[in-house]
Amino acid sequence: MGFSGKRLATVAGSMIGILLLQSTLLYNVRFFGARPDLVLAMVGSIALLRGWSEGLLWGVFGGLAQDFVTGSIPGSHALAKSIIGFTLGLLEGKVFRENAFLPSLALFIGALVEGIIFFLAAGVFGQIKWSFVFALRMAILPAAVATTIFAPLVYRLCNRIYDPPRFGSL
Amino acid sequence: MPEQARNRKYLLLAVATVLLTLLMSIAAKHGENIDSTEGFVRDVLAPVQKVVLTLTNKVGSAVQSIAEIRYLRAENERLKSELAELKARENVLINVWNENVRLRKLLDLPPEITEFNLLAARVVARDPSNWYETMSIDKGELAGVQVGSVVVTNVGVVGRVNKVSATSAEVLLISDQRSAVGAMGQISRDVGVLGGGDAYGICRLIYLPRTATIRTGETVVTSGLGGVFPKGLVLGRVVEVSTEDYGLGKFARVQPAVDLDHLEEVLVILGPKN
Repeated sequence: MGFSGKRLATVAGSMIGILLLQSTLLYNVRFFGARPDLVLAMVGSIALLRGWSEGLLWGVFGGLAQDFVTGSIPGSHALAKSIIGFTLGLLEGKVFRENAFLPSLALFIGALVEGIIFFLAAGVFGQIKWSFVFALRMAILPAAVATTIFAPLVYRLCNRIYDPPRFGSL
Repeated sequence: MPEQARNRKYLLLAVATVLLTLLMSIAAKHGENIDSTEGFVRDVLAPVQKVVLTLTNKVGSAVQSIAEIRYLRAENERLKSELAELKARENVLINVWNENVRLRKLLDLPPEITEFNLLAARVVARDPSNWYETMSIDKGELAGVQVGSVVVTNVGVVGRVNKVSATSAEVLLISDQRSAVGAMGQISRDVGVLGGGDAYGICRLIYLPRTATIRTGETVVTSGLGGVFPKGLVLGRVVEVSTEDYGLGKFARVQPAVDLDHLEEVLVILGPKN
């Protein structure tokens, strides 16, 4: 393992790019009434591919970026995403890189838990007025489904960043 | 895995959790003032978001133009005849407008949107999460925007400024679950509080008395209570009236007058003209 400067810049740039796209031209892209959380899909994918340390690092980074760009209380998305990044990172090596189903399933569960952690974290500081059941119906569950739809695509993008194809080699 | 490495792993997670909780706690205490880091990030990203939006719109319209070129000739003919008709209508509208201005003065109606200093701003980003309904605009403190400034369009109220930095601001939309606007029925004069987060894009007018006579289809306007929103601005239209649990009061579902999902430009109320 190890962090190379070029790779750090690539992942950070991709994450910021995804966030910018989501807050501008992809804003009205909805599935089952919910917007996918592509930053979470990226954090989860990196965690599954690279382990808990990178999952934690990019969870904090992506979450903080999301907190600063959006109307959330700073730290709320970061907390939820770092915990999910860390936890999914513990599964590193237990899911096949070539198989899209298991990462998608892991990301679906991760998105559900991330929603619940965000609900609790932001709720403690008075930033959520919804009841848990309403939040589950309106935000957590639909967002998890929408995120999972994009998960294979983002997972492949991350796989490509960390393991680019080598042309000319056998 | 060695015990020490495992402990280190969970220690790191605990440190991150504590630090982020601390950050949230500090941010919650600061309330609506953006701290310097958040303000810096917003000021750096706002122009980038503006460029992304502009490019997207330009590329989109170019592609659309190419796709529609075969319809353009027929449309040109139709538009020529429409133009002649519209010119005639324009004259009528100018007369009606002048009459409206005169009648308003005559009736001494309460202050409306034209009696405020307005600042045009462009929407540069939206909150992509499913939790909140906020948007970023490209005007901030330097242009006179303040926390609490009311944001409107020619159709009605959009929300109020929640956070502000030098060159951008975050607007809390009336459909956000954290929003609360003093509101009343335009005809019934039943007073309540309009909050967001009822369903996708629908608001909820709560704290209506059991005797409220508000009806489906009635326009809901700001009541002026609370001192943030000027009185009489259009908020939306009632789509359903129901009784609260245990029959203690009523609530109404309200469709915002403004299409909050497709906003591109807004007006920020800076204060009264005088």
